[in-house]
Amino acid sequence: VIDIARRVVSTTPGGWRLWREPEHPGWTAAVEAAEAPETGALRDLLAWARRDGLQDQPELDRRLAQLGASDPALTHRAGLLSEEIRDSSAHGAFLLAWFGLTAWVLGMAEQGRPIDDTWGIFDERWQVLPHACAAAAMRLDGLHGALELAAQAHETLRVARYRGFGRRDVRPVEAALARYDALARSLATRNEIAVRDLADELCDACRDDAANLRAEVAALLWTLGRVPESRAVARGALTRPLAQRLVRESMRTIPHDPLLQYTWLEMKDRPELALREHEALFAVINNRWNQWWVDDSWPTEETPSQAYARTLIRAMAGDLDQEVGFRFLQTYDMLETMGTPGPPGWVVAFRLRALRMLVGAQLDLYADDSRERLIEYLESQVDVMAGNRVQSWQFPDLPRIGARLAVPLFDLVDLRLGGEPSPEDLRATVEVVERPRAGGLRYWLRTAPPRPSGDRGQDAGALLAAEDDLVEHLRGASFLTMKPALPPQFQWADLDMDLLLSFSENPEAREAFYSPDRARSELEQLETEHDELARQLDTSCGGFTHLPDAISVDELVDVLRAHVAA
Amino acid sequence: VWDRYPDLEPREFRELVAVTAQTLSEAGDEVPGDVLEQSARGASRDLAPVLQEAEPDVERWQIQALLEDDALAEQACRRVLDEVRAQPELAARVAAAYEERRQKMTGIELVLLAGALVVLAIRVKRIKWGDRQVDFEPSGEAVSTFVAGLAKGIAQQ
Repeated sequence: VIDIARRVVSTTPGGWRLWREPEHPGWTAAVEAAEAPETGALRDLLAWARRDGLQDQPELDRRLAQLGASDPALTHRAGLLSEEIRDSSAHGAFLLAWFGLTAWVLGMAEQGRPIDDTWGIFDERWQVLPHACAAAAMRLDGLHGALELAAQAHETLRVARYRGFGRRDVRPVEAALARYDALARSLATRNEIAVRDLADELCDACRDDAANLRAEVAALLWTLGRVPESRAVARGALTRPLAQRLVRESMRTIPHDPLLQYTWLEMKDRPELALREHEALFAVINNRWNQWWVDDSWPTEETPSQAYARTLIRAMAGDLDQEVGFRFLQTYDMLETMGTPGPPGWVVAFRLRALRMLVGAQLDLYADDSRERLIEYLESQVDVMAGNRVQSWQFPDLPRIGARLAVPLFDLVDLRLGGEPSPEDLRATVEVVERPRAGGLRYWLRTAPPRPSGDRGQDAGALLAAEDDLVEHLRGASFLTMKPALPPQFQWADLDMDLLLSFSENPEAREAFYSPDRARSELEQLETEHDELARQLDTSCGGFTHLPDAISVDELVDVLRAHVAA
Repeated sequence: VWDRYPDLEPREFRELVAVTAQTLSEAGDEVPGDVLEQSARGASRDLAPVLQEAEPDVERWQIQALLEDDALAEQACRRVLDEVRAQPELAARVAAAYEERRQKMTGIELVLLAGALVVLAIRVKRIKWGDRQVDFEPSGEAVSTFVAGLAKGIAQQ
């Protein structure tokens, strides 16, 4: 929650303005609202923060924690005060709510107490503080962090209502849930208005004028894995629905994706688009998300993410020259030599490699007879992509990959199907297109496979029972890998009373039991055992595990050919 | 639906606005492309020259603020619906489409539709179904005058 609270400030234009301008009247409004004797400690903290605290984050955190731990009722009061002055001073309201929220969270952490419902004790400040903070942020054009905060509070209240039903009076929680519903709806509407506004301007900036942003927008689409769309935009206009999808996907992805963010940033001073006027979204585009430490410590002026963005834009414009292209290749080689890992989630290194391929093609660096080697390389990249999709299933708390790894797949299809494709090319293309999809389905094919057609034979009973048992464990391990990314109601999963009691006496055992890393190791082990069991079934039950005959690739190719001919 | 109009539930009102915008965009002439997806900012830019004929002092930002404000957008939409209801054939078509689609529609917010509805009401001159035709130009002028007056009253914050 403290991380979300900080993101609320950094993505609220009116919020970070307060941090930069201690003389802003919002500070005065907040201090004056906390004039009553019982709110003196809050007033003093605000006055100190305005004077000294904005330059000294650790000391500010220490004082906030102290206030939260020593006077819990005051943090609640800060939320109420914020709501009282929201109409007269949205800035003052934001300060009061944010200070109340962070003091509450840091104060509880200092006391080693959870703020959620883990101990079955509902903290009524959930009803007030996140709501006050998100509502005030919305008044100051803050949407991204406010949406996240409102969603977190809504989820926590939902769990509290569920757990408290029949045990305590949940009507106040239900009333708070209704308020959060209304707030979330307003935030989502404001967000959609902002998305549509920016999308319309992007469309205008991609018209047929001499100066336009087609190359930049095509680069964004390519970075998101929308390769056909990027080619269409590089040649022609951008449609409104595609522009809206581009903006929505970008806002979701930028916090985790430096390559996408730097590509957007290349447009921020272009006269064709008044990006800064779209304050709510520009706060996300221009925020320091610190996705990749390499960009902050790179020895040359142009960071790797910048080099990516600039090179790709030139490539999309069709005017990539050797100077820019070779500079990117040098950056790429430096990263390779240093063995620099990308940020978590695989996508950065993968797309740097994809851009290297594009640069090679545009600068005509490939030998004339390199087609087969290129195909081989691209197929290896598709295998990596399929593997990453499987891994991403087991690491659900990492950013979603989406379509962002799709570039080599399109390159491969182009290479195979360009000109007059042979039957072998057609077969290979179908096979390779299906590979990532099969990777994404691996878990499901294992736990709920298609029904086999053969005779199960006499010896199958014990083996099938063992398989049932293994699949049950697979599901359990898979749940544990997903648990950190599931909504909060799934955090309350101690349904076995004996287990619950043993965990309450031994917190380390609880941590080990729910460890996603341990669950991932178990998954690996269980999959090995499952493969072995399948082999035994195959041997002893005469092909029982074989699937029914599927349509052959040749038949599929015939169908596709007939379709194209029609 | 017109029997109960204007005493509709907020959700019904939003659905009626959505259906009316859809009907005008399908049967009207001079319909801009993707108009239902248009932003309030884009709509305000389209509307500014027309509304300035009625109210020369009205500015683009005032029109945008109107379209993004829940209460004012509702007033603007209500004025368009009044004009639609006054045209019996058009009103009947809208009512039929409403009955057909209302169970299938998701609850899109009014402020996301208001711009499109006002743009359509002002830009569409004639609405045609086969050889049947409704002249909507006078209605568009009435809407234009009303919306311009509404926008003019918005003060800079």
